[in-house]
Amino acid sequence: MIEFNNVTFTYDKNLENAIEGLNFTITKGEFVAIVGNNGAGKTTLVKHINGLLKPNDGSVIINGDDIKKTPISKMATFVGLAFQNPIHQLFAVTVKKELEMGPKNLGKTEEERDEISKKIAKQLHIEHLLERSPLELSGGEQRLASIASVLTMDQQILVLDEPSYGQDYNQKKRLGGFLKEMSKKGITVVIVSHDLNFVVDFADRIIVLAAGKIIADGKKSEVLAKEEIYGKTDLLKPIFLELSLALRENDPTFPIGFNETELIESIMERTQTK
Amino acid sequence: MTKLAVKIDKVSFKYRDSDVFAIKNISMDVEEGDFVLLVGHSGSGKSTLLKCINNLIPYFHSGAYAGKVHLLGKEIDDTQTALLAKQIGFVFQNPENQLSALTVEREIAFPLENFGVPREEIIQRIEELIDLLNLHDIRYKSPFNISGGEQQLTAIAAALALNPPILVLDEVTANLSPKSAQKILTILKNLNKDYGKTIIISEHRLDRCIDFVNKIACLVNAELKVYNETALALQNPKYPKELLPKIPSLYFQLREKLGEDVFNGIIDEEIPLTPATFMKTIKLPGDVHD
Repeated sequence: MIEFNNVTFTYDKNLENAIEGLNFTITKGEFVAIVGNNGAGKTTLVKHINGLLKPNDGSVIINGDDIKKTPISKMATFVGLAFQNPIHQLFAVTVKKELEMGPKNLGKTEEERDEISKKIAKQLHIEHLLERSPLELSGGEQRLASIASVLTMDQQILVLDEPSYGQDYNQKKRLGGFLKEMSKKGITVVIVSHDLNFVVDFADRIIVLAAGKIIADGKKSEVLAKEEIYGKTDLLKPIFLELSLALRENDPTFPIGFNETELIESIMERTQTK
Repeated sequence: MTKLAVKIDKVSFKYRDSDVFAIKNISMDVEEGDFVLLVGHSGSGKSTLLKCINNLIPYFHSGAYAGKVHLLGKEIDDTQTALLAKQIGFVFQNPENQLSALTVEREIAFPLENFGVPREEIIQRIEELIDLLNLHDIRYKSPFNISGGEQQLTAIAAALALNPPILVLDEVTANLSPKSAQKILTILKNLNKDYGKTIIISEHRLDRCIDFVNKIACLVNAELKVYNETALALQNPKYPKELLPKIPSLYFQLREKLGEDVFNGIIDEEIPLTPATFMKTIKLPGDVHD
C-alpha cells in the first residue's frame, strides 16, 4: 500500500514547491496512472514512492514503512522503478546481463538468474534482444529492456515513468496487457504517462497533477469526463471520448465511452432498438 | 499534369554488418503538393526510407544500396549536396541532433549564411519564419534552453530557411506532449495547404493527422505493402488492421458487426477519418435532429 500524507517537496527553497500538499492512498493491486504537463511534478511524485526523494513536509508510507526512516536498500526490495530515460539505468554489456543484475544483487544463483532473465524477456517479447548491447537498441527497445530489468526483482510495487514512450501499437498493447495482468495478480502498478490513449486502455484510476497539486483523482471514466482537466493541462481528449461526447449532443442518452469496444456496443444497442 | 517531387525507384538497403533488408525494392512516386504519411511498426524501415530521400543513405550511413531516387526530375546521385539542401528540408525525431547555434534566430540564419545570402535578405527571411512559426518569444534564446516543442519548431524553421519545396520529417512529435504535437502537425498542415510544400512524414499519432494527409504509404517488414490516396489505402486488404487510425477502425468494425443492410441504413459510404466526419456520416435512431 502507498500512502501520501500532505506531501510537499522542493528541490530548492528559493523555488516553488515541485509538489505540494499531496494526499492519496493506493491499495494493493491497483493500476494507477499519474498524468499532467511537463514540470507538473509527476516524476518528483514517483521518486518518493521508492524513497529516492524524501518529503520536506508530510509523510510517505510504503507497505507500513515511513520512507524517511527506511534505508533505500530495503525500499528496493519491494518497489521497482523504471526511469523516464532508460539510458539512466542501462549500463551492462548485454541486455541479458542487465536483467541478471537485480537478481544477482538479491543473492540469486547463476542458474536462477539465467532462468529469471529468460522468463521476463519472454513475457515482454524481447528474447531476441538478450545478447545485444542495451546502447545499440532503439528508444522503444531500450524502454522495454529497462522495464524488464525492473521486473526481474519480483517486487510488490512497480513504478514506471512513461512506459509506452517510443513503442508502436503492438508493443504498447503487449506491455499494457502484461501490466494489467500483474495488477490482477496483486502487484500495484503506478505509471506516469502523457499517452491518454494508453492510459484509457489499461489503467483503472487516474491522478491528474497541475503545478505540483492534484486537480483530479478517481476512476478513469470520472476523471477523463471532466472538461477542466484539459484546460489546465497539455492533455488531449482520447478520440473515442471526443466521439461519444459528440454523439451525446444528438442523443443525450448516448453513454460516454472511452474505447472502441464501448462505442461499438452502444451503437449496436441503438440500431437494435430501432 | 502534376509534376513529381520525389521518385523512389526500386530502392533497397542493408545496413553495414547486417544480413537483412532494412528496406526492400521500394518504388513510390510523390507528386508536388502531396502530403504523404508513412506508417509501419517499429523496425519496418520508415526512417531508413526517409533517409534515402536526402542521400543520408547511402552517403552518411553506409551499407548495401540499390536503386535510384529522383528529386524534382533529377537523379540525386548527380545532385550536389548543396543543391539538395535547397530542395529538401529534413527534420529528425530528436531536434538536438540538428541544432547548433547560440540563439534560435542564428539557427535559422545558419543555412542562409552558408549559401552566402546577402545580410538584408537573411534578416528578412528570419522575420518571415519567426512570424510564420510564431517564435517571437524564443528568438533570442539558446536552442538548448527551450522546451522540446520549441526545439522542434526551431528545427523546422531552420529546415525552411532556404525555402525548400520538399519537407521530410521523421517522427518529429515523438518526444512532445499531446498539445505541442498537435501544434506542430497543424503548422505542417498549413505549410502544405497554404504554401504548397510537398511533405513526407513518419508519425505514430495517426489520429491527429489522418484528415489532412492525402496519401498513406505503409511499410511491413521492409516492403511497401500499400501506397495510395488515404481512403483507398485504408480500405486495402493488405493494410494492417492494427495500424488503422481509431475512427476508420471503428467504421470497419461496425460494418462487420452490423451487417451491410443495417450498416448502410445508418452510415454513409464515405470512410470517416475524425470524430467530426464520423458525426456527419452516422445517423442513429434517437437523434434529436431526426
